[in-house]
Amino acid sequence: MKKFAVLDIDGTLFRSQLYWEVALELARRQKLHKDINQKTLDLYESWKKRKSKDAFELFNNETIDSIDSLLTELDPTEYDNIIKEILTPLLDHTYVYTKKLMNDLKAKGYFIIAISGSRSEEVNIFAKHHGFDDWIGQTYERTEDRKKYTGNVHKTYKDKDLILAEFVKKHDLTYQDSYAIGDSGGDISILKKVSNPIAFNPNKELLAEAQKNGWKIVIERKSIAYIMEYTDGKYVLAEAN
Amino acid sequence: MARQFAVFDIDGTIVRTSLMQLLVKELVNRGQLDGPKAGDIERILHDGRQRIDDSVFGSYMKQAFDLMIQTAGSGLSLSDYTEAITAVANSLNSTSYVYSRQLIDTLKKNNFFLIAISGGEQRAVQAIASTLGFDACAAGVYYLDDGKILTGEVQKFEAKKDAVLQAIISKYDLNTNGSMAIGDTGNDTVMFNLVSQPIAFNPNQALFKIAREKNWMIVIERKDVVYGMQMENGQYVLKSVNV
Repeated sequence: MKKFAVLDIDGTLFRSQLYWEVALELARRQKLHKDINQKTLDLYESWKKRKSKDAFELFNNETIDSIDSLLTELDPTEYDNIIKEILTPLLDHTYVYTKKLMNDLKAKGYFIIAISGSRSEEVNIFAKHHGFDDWIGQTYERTEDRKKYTGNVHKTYKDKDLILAEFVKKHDLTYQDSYAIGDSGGDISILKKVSNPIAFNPNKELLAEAQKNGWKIVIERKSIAYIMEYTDGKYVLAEAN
Repeated sequence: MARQFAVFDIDGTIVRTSLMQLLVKELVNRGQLDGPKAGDIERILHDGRQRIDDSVFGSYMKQAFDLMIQTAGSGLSLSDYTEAITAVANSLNSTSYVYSRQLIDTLKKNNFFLIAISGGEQRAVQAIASTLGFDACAAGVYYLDDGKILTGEVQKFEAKKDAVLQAIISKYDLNTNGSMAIGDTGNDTVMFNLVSQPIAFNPNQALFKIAREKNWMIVIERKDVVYGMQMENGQYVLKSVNV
């Protein structure tokens, strides 16, 4: 049985958010939907300026909700036309620590998995570029001619442990000595499953859980990765590079 | 008795980016700079800040300023420039680090004398310092004007932050004992050597290397979390996590 490493993408390997890059550009080109183009841009500005503590969650949730609620009115072809053009120059915009860890584990024969809350169209492009062995993103179901969305969405940002269990079964993998790396609360369930959980640039929710369990915490800031390990009741800076 | 002081760097320490980047953005918003051309200025400044070597950042700022003057076409008027500075100073709440703002508040309550020393432009540095209630400040450069427009000439001031700080300490008869310095790059280390509580905040590689040699406290702000690391028996220990 093969060991694996499972990575979240947005905020963990990728410095930005795959889905946002695309949704935002569609809004800038006024091609998202007339009711939400401006609202998306406004919410983005207020997050950028950190106008409130939960500005990111607001931007994240409200934009997703608006897009989801208007899904059947949106035109997937606009999206298909633009996605490669937007993502191609951004694909190597990755964190140094997670990219190196992924490469090292790959060299050791680990099976590398991505579980992302971004849409499968973006995740496909990103995962192929970085050499993942298998991956999953959120699926926005389309009609048979692929020219309309049906409105059905298969979510992948929660219950990540169940999604992981399917990968483990499908590829005959073992949790023993395996790795999980994530940056937010949605990743807690997969970090709980593996021998080597890593909280990377964690948000408050994940940080609290990491401290409770003594998980490794890694912070990358200005190309320095601070690797903190829990020993004798405290976190110690084990390494910085 | 002589007062204790705290000296702050501004770019990357109080504001998340730099005063000049904020000014360029503000001038674009006001229609005084062309967006795409301002993008080039932004890139020069961004690249400059990402460099590991600190000694060249000044030349990036000069390059960016030259481009700013060229881009402004018929000239950047003094009143447009000072109005943009006021707007930048008034929006500090959304462009500055939470940790630094809270530290400033705490130090004020404890009657510290607050100093800002920046490589930035004098009018901008003064506006930031006065908005935040600092007691003294020093800038790196001054953009000359003819009463109406910025001429494009740049007057340089003393660049060594230790010499600048030493002059302020003497002038106001301040006490280095118990005093604090906070900065994010190698340029700030010389002022760290003058105080008893240096803080390397989101340090770049040059500062991090020295901080580790000298056992200085390291503070990182990332997402909605602030990490404080202190040296204990030869290793950094995570002491406080908050915001």
